[in-house]
Amino acid sequence: MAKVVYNGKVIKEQSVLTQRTKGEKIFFAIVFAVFLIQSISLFFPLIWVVLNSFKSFAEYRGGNTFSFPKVWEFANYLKAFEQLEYGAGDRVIPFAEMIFNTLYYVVVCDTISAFTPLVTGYVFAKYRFKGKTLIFSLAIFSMMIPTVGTTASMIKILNFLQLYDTPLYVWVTAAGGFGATFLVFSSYYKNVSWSYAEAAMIDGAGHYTIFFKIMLPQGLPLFWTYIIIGAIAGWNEYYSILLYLPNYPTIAAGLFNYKDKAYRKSGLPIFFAGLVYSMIPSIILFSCFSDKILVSLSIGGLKG
Amino acid sequence: MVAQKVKKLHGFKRAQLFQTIFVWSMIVIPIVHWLIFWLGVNLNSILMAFQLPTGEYSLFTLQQVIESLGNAGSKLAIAVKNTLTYFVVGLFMTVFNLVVSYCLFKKVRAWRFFEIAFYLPSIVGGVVMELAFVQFLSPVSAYTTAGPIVELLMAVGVPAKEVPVFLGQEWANKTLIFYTCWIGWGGNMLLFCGAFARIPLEVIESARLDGISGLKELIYILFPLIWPTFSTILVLQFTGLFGAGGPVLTMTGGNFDTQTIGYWIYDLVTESGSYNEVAAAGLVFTCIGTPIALFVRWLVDKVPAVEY
Repeated sequence: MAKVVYNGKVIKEQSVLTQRTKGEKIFFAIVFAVFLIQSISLFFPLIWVVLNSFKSFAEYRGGNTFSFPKVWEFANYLKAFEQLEYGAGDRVIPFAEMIFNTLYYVVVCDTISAFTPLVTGYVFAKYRFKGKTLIFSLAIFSMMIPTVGTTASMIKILNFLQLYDTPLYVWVTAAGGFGATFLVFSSYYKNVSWSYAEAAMIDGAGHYTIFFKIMLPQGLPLFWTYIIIGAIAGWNEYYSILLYLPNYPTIAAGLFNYKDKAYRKSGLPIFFAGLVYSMIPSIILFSCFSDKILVSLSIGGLKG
Repeated sequence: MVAQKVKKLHGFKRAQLFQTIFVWSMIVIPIVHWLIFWLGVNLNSILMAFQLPTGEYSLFTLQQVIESLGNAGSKLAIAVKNTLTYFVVGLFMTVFNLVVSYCLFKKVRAWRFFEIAFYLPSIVGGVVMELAFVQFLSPVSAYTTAGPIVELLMAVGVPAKEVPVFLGQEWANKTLIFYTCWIGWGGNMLLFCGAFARIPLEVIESARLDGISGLKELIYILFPLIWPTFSTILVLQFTGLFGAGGPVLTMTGGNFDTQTIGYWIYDLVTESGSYNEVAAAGLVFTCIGTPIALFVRWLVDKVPAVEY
């Protein structure tokens, strides 16, 4: 921090990050302008969707696409709830069921897929055991091999295990403890001091107690970051749902499935209302926890 | 004395045993998961590549895929071309993300707002953003009014007939690549910003005192310090070489020669159930991609990481 002194008094401490030469000031002014235009361009389509979700179909077809609705059709949101559906074979899945599926998918998948790498990351960071190097090398190796086209094999194995298109699929497939998240947790726990654990050991604490009472709480900030990022990603997931859980569509999968029908069936404004439904939870989640999401994440250590 | 030593030894062994039980109880599920869903799935995929749909072992499927790759007009060859294009765009965007993250780290005015704005596509999700974008580019049709972009073009005097159909034959690929770049400003932002944030400010301060310029600061001071993060992202990107793609599924459904390998696989699995063809193609791409990924990893490992 550089101090700004005026009349012998420190009036403000200026970070080295904001100290600029004249040339840099111009550069960052241009950057600001470019970033602003890009930000507006990213927000604009979403605002446009929200505005048009309140229009009647007739107004949307005939009116000015940029204009505010002449009559705000709040009923579109009710209609979206009633009309947006997902056709899976002979079954028609209503929107309410898609919401339930989404919540189930997010809660189960997110919790397990954040907790398992935390556990493996902790164990690999803090313990020495037989086979550690081999397992770590295999984990890194499997990250290094660019496997392509395993979808077909995955479906066959899921069918064999009777997990394909069942709610249990989410529990089982989320339990992978090796991957990029494992590396992040591993490097995180490497930097956590072991002295608390040693003190607890002297007091007679076992390994489980040390993990659950001392180490897990220390990993919680990063864990919650992954939970929130994972919840947003899970809420918006549709590709793997279409492939492996076709009878349990989430909202995103349902909207994807419905997009072509929107033109002829309920009309686009109602479809837009569905898009807004899909956006709201993620935006609320992000607004509440942006400080956790935008916290420092670190990755590294592919050297096995 | 001896008894005490034996007791101590037993105590040590007991502690070792408890530790072993703890360690393996914690990692047994991930290991079984890896054995089934990585090793098992991949071995099964290799076997499937040498099988016919009837289950009979044959090289026919593999030969068919290789032939298809050699035929420039085939769906698979087009998919490979598009995938490689997305991969190159992805590499370019990674470097661009680094520069964007640097500007955010240097606290460009309203940096917090920009961080949120660039992360927005991840917040609202691919399907919402992509479907909104499709409507945004919507041409004049019997069903709907033109999308805002088309209206804007017409408003500035472009005749309706000359307004491009952005998701049509001529423009579809360019539009998808534009979209990928447009929403990709925040890609890797969390990781890069995290890496920048851990750099001790004293390092930058002393460089500044030596009169270093902003560009030199980025290239010679900051970049070496965040190299572990950058190199990891780079290696993972090469690992996903044949998985690169854009929003093909949502925006064009693979039409207008926009299919990527990912879409080609999705299409075969969901529409025609040609599992063996998918597995055979996967094997070919894995064989090509593995040495490339390992070479890149070897190359980045040559660069010494700075400890701080």
